[in-house]
Amino acid sequence: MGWLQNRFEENFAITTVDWALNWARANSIWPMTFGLACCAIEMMATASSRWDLDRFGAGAYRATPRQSDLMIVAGTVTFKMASRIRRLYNQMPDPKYVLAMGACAIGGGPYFKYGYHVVKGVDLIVPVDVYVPGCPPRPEALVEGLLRLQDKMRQQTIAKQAEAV
Amino acid sequence: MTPQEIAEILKQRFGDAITEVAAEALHPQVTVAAERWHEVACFLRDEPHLAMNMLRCISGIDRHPEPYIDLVYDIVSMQLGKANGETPSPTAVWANNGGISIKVRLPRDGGHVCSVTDIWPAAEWHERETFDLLGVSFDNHPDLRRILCPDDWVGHPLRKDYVFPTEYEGIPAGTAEVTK
Amino acid sequence: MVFAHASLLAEGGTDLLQILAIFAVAAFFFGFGALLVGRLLRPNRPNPDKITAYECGELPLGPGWVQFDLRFYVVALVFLVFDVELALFYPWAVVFGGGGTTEAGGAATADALQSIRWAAMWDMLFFFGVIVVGFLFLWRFGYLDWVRTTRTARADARPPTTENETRTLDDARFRQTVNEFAEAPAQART
Repeated sequence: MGWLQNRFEENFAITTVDWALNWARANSIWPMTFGLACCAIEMMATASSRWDLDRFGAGAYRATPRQSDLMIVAGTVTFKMASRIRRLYNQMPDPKYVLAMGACAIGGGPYFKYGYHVVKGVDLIVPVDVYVPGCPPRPEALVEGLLRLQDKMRQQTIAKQAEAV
Repeated sequence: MTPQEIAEILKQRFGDAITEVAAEALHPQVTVAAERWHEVACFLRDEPHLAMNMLRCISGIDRHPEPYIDLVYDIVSMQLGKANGETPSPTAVWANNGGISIKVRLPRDGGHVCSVTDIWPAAEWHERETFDLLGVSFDNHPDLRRILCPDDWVGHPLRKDYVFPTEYEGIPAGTAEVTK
Repeated sequence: MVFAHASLLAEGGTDLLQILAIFAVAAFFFGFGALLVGRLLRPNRPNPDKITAYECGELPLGPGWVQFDLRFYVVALVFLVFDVELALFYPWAVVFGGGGTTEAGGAATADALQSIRWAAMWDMLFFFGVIVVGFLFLWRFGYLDWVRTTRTARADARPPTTENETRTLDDARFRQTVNEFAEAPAQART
């Protein structure tokens, strides 16, 4: 978190600041439209009115990585697409998160054995925070994945971390 | 113009270039020798009673372990009957009238055939796909390069003896034991 | 500080400047305060990809500067002229509609006001007329069309037929097909 990170021990003021920052970040996740295949349809359904993602603050899909926090990789990742995914991930500003949606993004999915052009899981290319299994995952599952991501965000802290041994 | 009639016309006109006729089959087809294919294709398009002006699809079949690759060209006439003064019916296309498939048999290694892009422009991308995935090269193709796989891909994936890569640009690429 | 200025207000002096000063300082701190908080709180992890141009994941081909389409300039210019005209209509409209105060010592009687209104109307009609001439010029010469054709070009535009020179049909085979379809009913049985 820039200047404030790792300067102070954990204390009451820090926890309040942490709470405020994490609350702001978790309730305004702006995903990047990254539907690659069929999971994109379920992602669109999740964003539509019945399972509304916008009530979590996550309905503002951005087409550009520059304005987005979350990359929902929804669909099969091919080798041709892999370099583009990595470049787009690099172009996202920090703090950034990745949600692997669907079996193909988690580990190659149904194309694991005979897919000569399929990357067996997007975590071979970008670091993934949340995995949402399914083929395709139901919109409720994607909503749960988003809520888990929010929980993960709420664990973040700017306090001084214990030194790694 | 039923497939049988078309096959008859072709047999009469080209004789020995037509190696096999299977006009009664579910997928009516005529096998043409590879070196005369361009001539036959021009005839199919320009002959007023056949007028086969639409190439629907080019498919490639790998006959491994036989050393052949078959190319199947599905062509159809969208203006059937115009030569007789009738107005072409759009639904004739679905009545399995005025269309036939041409099969061309090529050797698996180094097989090449003349491109029909100058006859049917739709062939351009179909031939690129056949080249990319099966390794058949087409002479006089305006732009023969890979269309689906990346440009630096090694091998032709839809061949039956294709060995899956273990890695591409540093990304591990799954099991290498997947061969038939 | 607020109480100090409240007392100044009570004095009724020239405190406008002070109010504006407070306003400017508050605006400054709102803006730059938000930026400062962001600067303190946000992570800073630059990498070369972050500063390259965005091209949907591809490496950028060529410069990102494209030639500015001049039609936008025309739109902006036309808008500016008519917007200023509209702004100049407002005072007239207020006076004509009977609004506006007479505190500064304008016409006090109703008759004088009436004559001012109608004189102003003729003035305004003259002004409007001049602007309308400009507007008709723009309209007639196609400056309001996004795809601009002048009147003479419209008269020339007719679909190319087999008699005309085929200016747009370069493909000889396409032309041949067009001819064939044009002659189809007359074709004799062969």
